[in-house]
Amino acid sequence: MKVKFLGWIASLAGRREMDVAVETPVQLKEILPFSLRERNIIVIVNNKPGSEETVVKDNDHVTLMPVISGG
Amino acid sequence: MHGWNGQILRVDVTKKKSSVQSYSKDFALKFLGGRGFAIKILWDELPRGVDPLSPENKLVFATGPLTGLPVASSGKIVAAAKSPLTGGYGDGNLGTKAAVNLRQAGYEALVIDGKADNPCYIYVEDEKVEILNAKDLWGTGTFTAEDDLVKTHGKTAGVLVIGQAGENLVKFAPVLSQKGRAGGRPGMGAVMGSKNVKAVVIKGTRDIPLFDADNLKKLGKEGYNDIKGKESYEFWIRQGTMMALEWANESSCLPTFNFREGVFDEAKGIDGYRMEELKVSRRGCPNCNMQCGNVIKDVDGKEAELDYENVGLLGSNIGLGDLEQVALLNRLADEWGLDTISAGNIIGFVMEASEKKLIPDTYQWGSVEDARTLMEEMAFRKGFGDTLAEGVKYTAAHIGGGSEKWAMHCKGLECSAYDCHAAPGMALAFATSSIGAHHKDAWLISWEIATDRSGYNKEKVAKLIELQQLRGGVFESLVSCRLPWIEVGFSLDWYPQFLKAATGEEITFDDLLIVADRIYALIRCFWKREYPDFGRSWDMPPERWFTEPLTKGPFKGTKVDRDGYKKMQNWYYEMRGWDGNGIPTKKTLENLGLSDVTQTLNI
Repeated sequence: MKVKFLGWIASLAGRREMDVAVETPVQLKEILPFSLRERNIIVIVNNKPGSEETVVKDNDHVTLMPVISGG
Repeated sequence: MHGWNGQILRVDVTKKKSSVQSYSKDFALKFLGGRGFAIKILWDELPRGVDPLSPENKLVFATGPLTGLPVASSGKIVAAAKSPLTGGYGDGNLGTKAAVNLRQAGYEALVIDGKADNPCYIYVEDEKVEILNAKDLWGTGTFTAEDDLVKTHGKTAGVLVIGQAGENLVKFAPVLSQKGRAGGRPGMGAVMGSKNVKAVVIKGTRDIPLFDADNLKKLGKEGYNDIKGKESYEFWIRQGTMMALEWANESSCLPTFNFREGVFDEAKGIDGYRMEELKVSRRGCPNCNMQCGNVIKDVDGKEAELDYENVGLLGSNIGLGDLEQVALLNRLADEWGLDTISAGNIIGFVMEASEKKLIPDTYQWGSVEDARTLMEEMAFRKGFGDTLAEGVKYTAAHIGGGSEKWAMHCKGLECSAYDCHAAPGMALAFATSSIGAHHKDAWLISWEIATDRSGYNKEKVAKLIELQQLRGGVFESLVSCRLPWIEVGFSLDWYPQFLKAATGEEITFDDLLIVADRIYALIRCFWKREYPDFGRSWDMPPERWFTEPLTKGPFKGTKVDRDGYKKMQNWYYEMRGWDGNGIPTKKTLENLGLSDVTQTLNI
């Protein structure tokens, strides 16, 4: 499973993306290197909105994005 | 009165006279400043049907009660007038030392009227106002003109200036300052040019009257520290708005090939990380500790200041994936005084028209040379550029062939850098923006992506109105930059505290939202006064988003559903208290304290 970190979330994660082997489906929070609680972060799982409770499995695509304002 | 100087400076360049107008606290509380002052002045003083490029149009530069104070990102000014591009209300804000200086000179606003016999510039130093000869400045770019004016008047002076595009009445020429700050997309620079005014130079040496200066200083310092302590701050300083390039591409909303697609294969060549490799310095507005102007050297070795909007339109939208080449176009637009968003939008349109053989000349996607040629022709109104200088709506009507469907604008103002095939709420945001398709009023797309981007529902419409109130109403009238709030999470709770310390008034956020609604309704009425047929048919996004689905990326096949869009339009009008045609009702106007407006419009 691939997780992409966009914008300042890449700094938080210390990387821009992460490959994780997920043998059995788990909640996203189980594999993230930081908590999403009290952070304003957009979670996209397979192009749909999600949360840290979303159950993810191998071959899923997860993107964590900041809420931004535009130029 | 505290917080406001209570004075508007008026300069009539025909009569070469200036005067100072006082205004009441009631006026200040009802319209706040910035956009609020601008629309009230333009509504009250412009005759219906005035030619935007005639001496009778008025150019308003307006600040607000937070402008120039030692609080977060408060160095901004609104430039407003009847727009020569759209024929409706037009405005925009820019960061500039002129904003701070205007307030310190003792005024919240400067209103320029008439037309000078010869090129001139206006010099303001506190109560001293002079109209000076600009013969030697006329015909120069904004960088050269500002350098000359700073040499003459000193580094502390704030300068608002137009380039050759403004002089040549290019209808999307903005006003510029500090070599890269631009505002007033719908032709505020052309209005300035039509008055033969090359620049405004302002020096202020007085104190802004404050209710509790010590507390304001304390709050301001705490606010700046709060911003610096945010988790996202360090990355913001690295990339600023340029981080949005990757964000938009990943979300399928990066304008690509004249908004045909939302993803660009060469996005990595123009994104924030590429910018970091090339970055040489950073610029920003006064009173800001999260400066967002990232500077790189362009292919000619000259410094260019980049932000997301410019790169989205002058990069992916024209198929150009080399950031140093994009920077060249960006720098030339800033020097000549062209709006980068409209310029990139129009270049993309021309490249598509060329591809479809609707025009005789060839302009290739991704060719920096072709883009540069088109931009120069626009700025100097040479050849085909004379048509392009009228905007994309006019150009499409001129060349025909069905191109109106992919002329990407709302109400005549070219779309800024968000493709909306897969973001119907953002399409409604563009279409109901008070100046045309600009992102400033309601950047719904982030919320939409986070929740339900394919939905057509009331929650989305309610969020759109909330964002319009905050962004297009509150921040544009305070006048203060919205970026600390949305980009690093600076709490909105700070603003009533700042206002209390500055003005002594207990102004709640609910009060501010009512002011925002008043401003929005009055702008709506301004459009209606100019165009008797103004109404719901004007609140439509470009036809392309309804009829030509995306052909690439994760949202391949997606387009905006027309019926769903119309439902949201109906909810939007209902929630705003406007009638089914999108005109504020008599009751709404009366509730907002705008009873006089009902008589003018016969509502």
